[in-house]
Amino acid sequence: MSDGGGYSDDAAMLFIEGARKAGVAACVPAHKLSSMPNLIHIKACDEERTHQAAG
Amino acid sequence: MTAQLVDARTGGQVWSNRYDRPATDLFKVQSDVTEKIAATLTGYEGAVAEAERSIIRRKPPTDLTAYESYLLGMAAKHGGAGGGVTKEGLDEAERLFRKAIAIDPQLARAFVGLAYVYEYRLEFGLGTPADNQAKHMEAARNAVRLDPNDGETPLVLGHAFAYHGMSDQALEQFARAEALAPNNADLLILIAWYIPQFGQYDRAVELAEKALQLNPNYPYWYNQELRYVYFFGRRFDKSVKYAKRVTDPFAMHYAYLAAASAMIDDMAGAKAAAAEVLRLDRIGVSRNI
Repeated sequence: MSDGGGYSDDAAMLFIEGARKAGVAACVPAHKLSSMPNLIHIKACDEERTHQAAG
Repeated sequence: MTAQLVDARTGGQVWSNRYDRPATDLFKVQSDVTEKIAATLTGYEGAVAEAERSIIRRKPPTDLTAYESYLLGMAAKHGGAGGGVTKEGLDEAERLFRKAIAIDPQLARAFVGLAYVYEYRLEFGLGTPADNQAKHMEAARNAVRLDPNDGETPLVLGHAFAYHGMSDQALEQFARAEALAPNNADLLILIAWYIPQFGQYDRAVELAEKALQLNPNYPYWYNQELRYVYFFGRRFDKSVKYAKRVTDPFAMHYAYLAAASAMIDDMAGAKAAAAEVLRLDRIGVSRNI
């Protein structure tokens, strides 16, 4: 979602809200992270992955 | 009022348009029409640039001037009318911009073009990010150094600062670009595309709408910027409208369309767009989050 090079936290949250409502996975799954070293992390997705890992 | 642009060399008509306005305030009408004509003619794919390119393409490559190489580089960069950015197009654009610089090392616009090549490589994940970022910044700084009074040069430097997360510097350059070229619709939409990341959602919408007003017959690539600007400006209906007009959409376009559709409770539209996301990108919404 980083058109233009980046995004603010609230912009990221707005996109995630819409994507989730549409049924689209908004964050890259934890097991895919290692294959994407240049990934730009956003707080909400890191928190989601941490939450999922904790079960 | 009817305006015509004629190629003096051939007598052929390059462009014409008719403007109907109430004649209540002639100075305002004159100013309004002049701004629209300038915006329509002078864009990256405006009638002037396209007319020049059609002549240049008939010349042998060895006879091209620096500016002609730059013009062809810009066309290669964005893939031409209705086209799209490709790796091959960016490679060709870089070759043409470097050729332009070899002929005329003072041609600031060639460095502007080079900055776009590295910016697009960053955007599309081509090459090494650190290398692209460094070259992006170097080209943009060279452009400003060579011609600080061309609005295009602070625009690309603003983009480069944005990619480095330097928001104050980016916004300063965007303000300078807008001050230098307030009626350049392409420039305004490219500022609008960047500033949502700095929380300037309403300002982005304002600039985008000014660009649309200046250039109602805008080129295809505005749609990508518009769906993004309107999404973060929370005008989801307009985001959907322009997302549907994006040519050659990839997974991210459909992700925005799905999200915007869901936000206006068009769940059928959201579902259809979400299916396209999954079809085009099995890893999820984006490689960038």
